[in-house]
Amino acid sequence: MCGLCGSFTDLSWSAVPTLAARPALGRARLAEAASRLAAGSGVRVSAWGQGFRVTGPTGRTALVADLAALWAAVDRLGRSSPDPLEGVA
Amino acid sequence: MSGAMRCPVDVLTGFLGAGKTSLLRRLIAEGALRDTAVLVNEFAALPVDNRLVSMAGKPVGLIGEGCICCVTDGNLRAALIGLLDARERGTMPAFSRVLIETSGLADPGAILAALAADPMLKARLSAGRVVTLVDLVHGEATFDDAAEAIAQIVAADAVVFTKRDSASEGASDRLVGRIASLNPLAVILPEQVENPFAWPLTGAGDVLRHRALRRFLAVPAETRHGGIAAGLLTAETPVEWSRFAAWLSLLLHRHGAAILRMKGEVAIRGDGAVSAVMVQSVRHVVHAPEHLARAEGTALVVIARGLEPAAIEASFRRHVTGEAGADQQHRVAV
Repeated sequence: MCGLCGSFTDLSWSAVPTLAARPALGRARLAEAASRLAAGSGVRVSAWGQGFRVTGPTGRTALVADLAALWAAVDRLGRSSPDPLEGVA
Repeated sequence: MSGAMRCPVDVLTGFLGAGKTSLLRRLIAEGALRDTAVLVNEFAALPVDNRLVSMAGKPVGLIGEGCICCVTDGNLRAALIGLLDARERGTMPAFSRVLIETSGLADPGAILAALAADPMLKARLSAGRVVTLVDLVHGEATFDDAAEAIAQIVAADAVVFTKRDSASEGASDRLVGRIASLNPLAVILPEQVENPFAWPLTGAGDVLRHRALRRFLAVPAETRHGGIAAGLLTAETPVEWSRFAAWLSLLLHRHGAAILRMKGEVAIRGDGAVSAVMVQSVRHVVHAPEHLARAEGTALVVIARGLEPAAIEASFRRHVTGEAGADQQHRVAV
């Protein structure tokens, strides 16, 4: 189990601190950043409601609440599992 | 968020025979644990009286100065839920903190990560302080032989040496070096500290920056210990939070079991202003970032097992800061 969403808080730790008053914009920016990291797997991420929409290369879609569930969905729907340590020194 | 309602959880740990129960006895006798619920593995060694004898079938005792003492029976989760429920129902004296005394073979990082991920507990608790006792007589041998002792150092916010009277000359100097190379975030407290849970520590970026990081950078590279290595992530300019959060979430999703701990400041830019937050994670779990009064730059210590700190630093530069080139002077192998 990934406990990323299990911080000592009800709120997601990842909410953009500088955009506390504009959470939708914060989620859009997180989705954009996640999309860049997931690009190699053919997955697109966009902000959706209070969470995110993950769309795989075949068009299959998952709606997720937070970043932990987002990466699990990317693994499930994508061609490959993105790894931020891949290809670095 | 309703942070004021959450109960901080402190942890007292240390290898078998390090002196945990002796410290607890002293703190209780001095009244330092007023308003604290203490979870222990056994009553036997503590001055517990049995005025309060049961809580959902679990033994509970009152000890001097209003401290509540509860035997965990190995099921820490059930004991904590029982304590918090009883407090809310008013069937137990009020307490404002919880102190868990772990067994000598426990990994406190794993305990805290499990509590922080628990749906019944995460909204009711906040991370307190991990104090690790290190026996100066057996400490070095224990570090060589026991992975649990290393885990207790990696999880520590503060370390207190014990049994100096019987220790060989130079033992504490050697242990200071090993502890600093395993966990640059741990502050070694004076041995005569009255209450290690009340001693001022981090929480402000100043301490992290001036004390822990300076010591960290001064530590020479040593032989790797159990594949544990520490690295430092820095950025020349404030970073964009969304890039950092997306990167960190993927890093921990993929490698959380190997990233034992991460703590430090992140300076973030947004809407024309620069602000700073203190970020902490234990394995897969990220604690809620705390806002800091001043933004003085990004400095994040990462302690990992079986991962190259250089790879994490390079990934951070590629995906978060966009800065090219490596700054190898901050690396240290332990």
